[in-house]
Amino acid sequence: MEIKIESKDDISICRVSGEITFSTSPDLRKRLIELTDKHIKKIVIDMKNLTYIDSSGMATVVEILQKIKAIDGELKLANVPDKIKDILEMVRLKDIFDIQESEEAALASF
Amino acid sequence: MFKKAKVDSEPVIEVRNLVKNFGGRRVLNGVNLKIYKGEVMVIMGGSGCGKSTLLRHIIGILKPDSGQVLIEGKDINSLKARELDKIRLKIGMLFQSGGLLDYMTIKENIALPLTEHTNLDKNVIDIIVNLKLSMVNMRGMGHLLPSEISGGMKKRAGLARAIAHDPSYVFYDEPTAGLDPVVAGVIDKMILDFSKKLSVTSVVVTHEMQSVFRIASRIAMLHMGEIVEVGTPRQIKASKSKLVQQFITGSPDGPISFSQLGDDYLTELTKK
Repeated sequence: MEIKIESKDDISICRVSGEITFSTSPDLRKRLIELTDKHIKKIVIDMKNLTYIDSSGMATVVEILQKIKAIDGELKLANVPDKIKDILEMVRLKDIFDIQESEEAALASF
Repeated sequence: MFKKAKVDSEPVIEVRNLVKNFGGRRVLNGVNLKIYKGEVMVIMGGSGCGKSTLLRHIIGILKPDSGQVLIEGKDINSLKARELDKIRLKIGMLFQSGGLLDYMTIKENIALPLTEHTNLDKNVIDIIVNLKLSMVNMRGMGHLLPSEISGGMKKRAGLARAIAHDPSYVFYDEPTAGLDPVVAGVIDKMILDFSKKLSVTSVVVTHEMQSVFRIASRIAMLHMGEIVEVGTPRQIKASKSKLVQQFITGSPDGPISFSQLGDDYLTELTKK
């Protein structure tokens, strides 16, 4: 798993590639919590190059959504692969996330 | 509604010439079986035919007298403890009774594989447990004890625990036994959903015929410790084997006999 974080104005874009698994999700959690701890209120997680996400990865994204909502911020997911959309639907998470078709669409939606 | 799982071309589990005796009685008599990635393999057969014993060998709880069980090409009975643990982490098991620990809440039961085998933060584990409860339609019931829920709910909670750590292989021992037809249908749909959406390979031991034909990618018929036929549901339905036909139709007449020999009975009764 590789994580690249870029800031555009007041928005942080987190691009995750590879596989989020039980062993790699703690790294993602640490990087995202650093953002919410800094009170960054607008975060995009771009999943374009994400090949796999397990339950711990999904739970991590849910936790970040809880944290960002607690500071009146917004979290957007962009380029969510269909397979991952299916899993989000199965665990009934699809509707709690703001899912955007692309990074550009996510940035424009704030 | 019941869409079958897609099957890959490589066997991920292979049973080779497995033999097991219990107290001089042969329970498994040279079982051979290949299970492919992503399929729902149903092992069916009458009570006492060796289904659960076969399942326990595949997950490494029992050791065979001879023969092999290969998971991802590795003979699980020749692996060192650490290697076997790695394989076991890829396995989830739904026990016949649900297998929940009575003194723990449903949430604590589901969290068990995660607290024992991962270094995840407690918040993350809590969210995973809630996700799994949602997957088995038990949201909001995690605080209850196993004694406070119905048999069907115990099965669903057991299922949530079996998939808590995202296993690649899930084994089900009589998942719908004793459940009403609607709850059985719900469990069957969950088994299919996990196979299809989570790319899980499933091995289901059952003799519930409605479930068998609803979920199976392939069916293996076990009789007196031997696999007598393996095929797709369509092939099994069209089987020319009288034994298979008797089993799927539930006829009392046929090669599966329940009669006992009179001579033995008389000898037993008159034995001093």
